[in-house]
Amino acid sequence: MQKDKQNDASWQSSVNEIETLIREYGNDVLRTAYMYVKDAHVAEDIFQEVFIKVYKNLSTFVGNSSIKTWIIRITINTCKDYLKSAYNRRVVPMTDYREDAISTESDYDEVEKRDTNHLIKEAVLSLPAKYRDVVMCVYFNDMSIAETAKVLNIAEGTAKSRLARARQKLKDVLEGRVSDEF
Amino acid sequence: MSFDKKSNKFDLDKLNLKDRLNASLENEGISVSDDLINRTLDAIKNQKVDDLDHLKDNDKNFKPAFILRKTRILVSAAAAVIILLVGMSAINLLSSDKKQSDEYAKYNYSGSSEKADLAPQITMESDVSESILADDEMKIASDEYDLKGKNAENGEDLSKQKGVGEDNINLTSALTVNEIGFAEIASIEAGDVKSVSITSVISGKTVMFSDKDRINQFYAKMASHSFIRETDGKAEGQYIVEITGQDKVSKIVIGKDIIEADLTDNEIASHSIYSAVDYNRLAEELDYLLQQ
Repeated sequence: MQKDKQNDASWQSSVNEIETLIREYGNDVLRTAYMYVKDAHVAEDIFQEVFIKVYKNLSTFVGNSSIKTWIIRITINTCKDYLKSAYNRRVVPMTDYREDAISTESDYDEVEKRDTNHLIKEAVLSLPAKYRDVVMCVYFNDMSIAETAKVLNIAEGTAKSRLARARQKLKDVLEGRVSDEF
Repeated sequence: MSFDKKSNKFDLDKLNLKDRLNASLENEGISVSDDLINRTLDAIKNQKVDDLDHLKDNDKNFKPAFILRKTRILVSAAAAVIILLVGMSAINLLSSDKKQSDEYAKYNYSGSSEKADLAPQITMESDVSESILADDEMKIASDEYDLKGKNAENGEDLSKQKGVGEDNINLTSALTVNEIGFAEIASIEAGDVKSVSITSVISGKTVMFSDKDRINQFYAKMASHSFIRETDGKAEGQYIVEITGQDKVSKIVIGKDIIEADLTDNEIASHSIYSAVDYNRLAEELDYLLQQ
């Protein structure tokens, strides 16, 4: 009985820890997943799977990298596993783009900005997977080249060259199409 | 974070990609909601329950697996024992058949009396033989045979094999597989002996005794000697031992190379040929007895 109570207390502590991690890194996980699978529902499933894995393996995390890098690594691997499955490869998820009605001038600016953001997102999504991986790691998840190379299991030089190519491709797609604000 | 800024007018760093992606995704509703958090925590809780169930299942499965392993070992051991016993009985059966046919050829029948009475008998393995006969497989294999006689014929030290019959191993413990004891040659048990006479052919000296103690002493001394069954030969008699029982008379002519044993049991006579494993020691023993 005493042991059960101790186990319950320990388990509750783990759950609280997981909840903290979910609130801190949940959006990064969900959005990274979405950028891979391009489907909101699948991204949520992956989100759950990632944090179950985190819960199960938290005791094995030794701190060689930041916990965020570790969680994003799990996310990327889970997404890749999902995409590897033959069934899921046959299904191409469609993402709806909601276009709200424009009523005022400020609304127009807002819509333009939203369009730009959407265009950039689509540009990133349109990148070949190997380039999108490094862009997501470096620009979205704020990882260094070294961390990116480690997470993606590639050499640092490879990560650098892929990033350069990714930037060039994004330039090709976006230059002249996005506003001059940057 | 700045990469190759000089060569590219388009600066991804200035684009503030992260914020724009986040804004775009947020606009599409790709954000962590409380509902998603709760669902995830529930999934983790369920995971814990599943893990516990899994562990319980493992606990449940542990015992049967353990029992199965034990059972498998026991069954294997039992199978090995059965195979061993069946093999032994099969060997006994085959060798008994051979011996039987030999004996039929050798023995002089005067009637159609039972073969079991003619076969040389040894009394000391009775307990062991019975314990073996109790085994079903042995019964099947040796149903119609008298194992007492057969085992003795084969010189098998069954008491050694079974690790039992301490009282019975006296006469057989010294024997190897093909050797037989004096009691088998005499074909009369010590308890049934009325008198024993020993004659030295060379010296002509004869000693005869009917005292039970002396008879037992004689049998005990003879028990230390072993003999081998021979197929033919004629004894150049050095000693003649005559043993008279209740209804039997056994005349054993001991030569250096060959020993001839004639048993008369009522109207039935049998003749067997043996040789002593250590004749010199046997002769010394008989000389000693003759001097007493």
